[in-house]
Amino acid sequence: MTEIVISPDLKDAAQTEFGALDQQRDLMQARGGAGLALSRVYGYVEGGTDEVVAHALQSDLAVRRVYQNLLRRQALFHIPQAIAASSEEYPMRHCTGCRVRLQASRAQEDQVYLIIELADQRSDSPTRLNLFGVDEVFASVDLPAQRNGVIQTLLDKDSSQARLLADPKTEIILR
Amino acid sequence: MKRIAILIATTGGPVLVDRITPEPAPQSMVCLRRQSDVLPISADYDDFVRAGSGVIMREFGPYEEGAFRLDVSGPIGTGQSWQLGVFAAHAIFKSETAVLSDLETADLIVWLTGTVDYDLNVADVDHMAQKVESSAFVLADYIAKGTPILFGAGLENAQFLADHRPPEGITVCPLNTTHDLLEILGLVANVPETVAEESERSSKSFILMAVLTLAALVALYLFLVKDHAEEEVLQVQTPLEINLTSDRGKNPIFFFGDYLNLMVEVSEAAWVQCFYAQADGKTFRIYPNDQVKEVTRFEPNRLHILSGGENSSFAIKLGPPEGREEVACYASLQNIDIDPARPPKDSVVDVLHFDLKP
Repeated sequence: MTEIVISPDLKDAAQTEFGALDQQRDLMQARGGAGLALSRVYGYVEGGTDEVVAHALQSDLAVRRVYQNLLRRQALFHIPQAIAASSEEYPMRHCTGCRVRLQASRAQEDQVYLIIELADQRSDSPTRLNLFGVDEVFASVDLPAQRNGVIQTLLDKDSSQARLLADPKTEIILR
Repeated sequence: MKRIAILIATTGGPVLVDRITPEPAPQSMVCLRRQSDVLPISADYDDFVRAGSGVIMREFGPYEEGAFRLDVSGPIGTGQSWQLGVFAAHAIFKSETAVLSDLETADLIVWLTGTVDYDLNVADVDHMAQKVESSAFVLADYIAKGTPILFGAGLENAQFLADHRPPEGITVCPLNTTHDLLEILGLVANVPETVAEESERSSKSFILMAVLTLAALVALYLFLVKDHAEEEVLQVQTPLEINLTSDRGKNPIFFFGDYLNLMVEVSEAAWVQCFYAQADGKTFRIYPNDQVKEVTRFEPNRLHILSGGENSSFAIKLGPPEGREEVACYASLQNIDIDPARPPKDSVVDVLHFDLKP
């Protein structure tokens, strides 16, 4: 027989966890129509590919909020909104162990390098960059593998990802 | 300034090195058609460039910036055979006497395949026949135009090319090390530009000959099938065979907006019909069609270009849907309508599969 024991030390944490899950279930059910299983959103958070979830993230605010909540707790790196404004075109964003920056391409003026520098060469390097802008705008970038502590790819300067990265108010979550 | 076009030979067709730009980024990258599409070989290219693991910075550096962006005209798959072409492109980029060129305005076209090790030795690579075959259509235009063309490869690969007697206008250069290539291209100080100069001289008379593109293509094709042709002479009768390929080889990748240029060869005089099967399951006949002036039997043992030829003023421009598509060409000794679902028993078929991408 399986026995479940909640020690006094874990009780608060467990209540918080159950509260968050309950809130997410409410959000998902409030969508109306065909619901999206929370497990699918969780699978997407974990790096899985799911076109339905990807589409829902663009079109459904409730799904986007659930995704954001799950991501915050599963993040490898989390860079919250910057408090101070920046005068730079592409402000460098950073948190412990990670720096995210854009660098204009010399060859193509309409493109920018996305450069993510990791302090540790960790085995679980991030595979997706998630960007949550003000007004709950969302965009993401699937990342190539890190090499020598650097993840680098190219973005179009006019893309939603580049625009969000240029805004210090954008919340960045790497998973 | 000498204008040199560098073509990296791939099984999907020759890929032009369009441009090299030093970039203020940590890693070097290979990009497709000046877009933000980063090719998967970028990690290997970064290793090839980086001082310590690679040779480019060591041989041609230092540069103020620590990385390069290399723009190419088409996809380059796995493997390392791009290294020789990339090395040559960097040598030209560094040179004060030569510049990277497009094909149209090039003084010299250099077609390269091979790996380059840390000691700058050039090594042989696989799939030579496919690489030459998939380059035929592109190179034929420039042979006809009179642009000198140089094929550079490792020793055994170059021997393979020389054994097949390339058409006039192509010089095969066996390369032991990258130094051999730099000498040939006149990129080493105080070294006479032997082949390049000779090629330039011969090109002038070649231009006067004004050879047609199609003739050059046929010459290239004969170069490719020489071995098969010799075998066929010894045989009194051969069974009907059909060989279908494209200007990008047997396993090409196409993008929306690209043109599909098909080439067919039959072993006996035969009627040919081709069908296009889309990724969504729809199939339609693409040859013959109402743009073909006169439907006749295909002559044996010669290359027939299905689109854009004298007898067929049509082009096949590829568009959605994306996916794995195929063209099947049937050859028959009788002039009958062929149903690809139930082809006649005496017909033979060859199928070309390709990926179509947005």
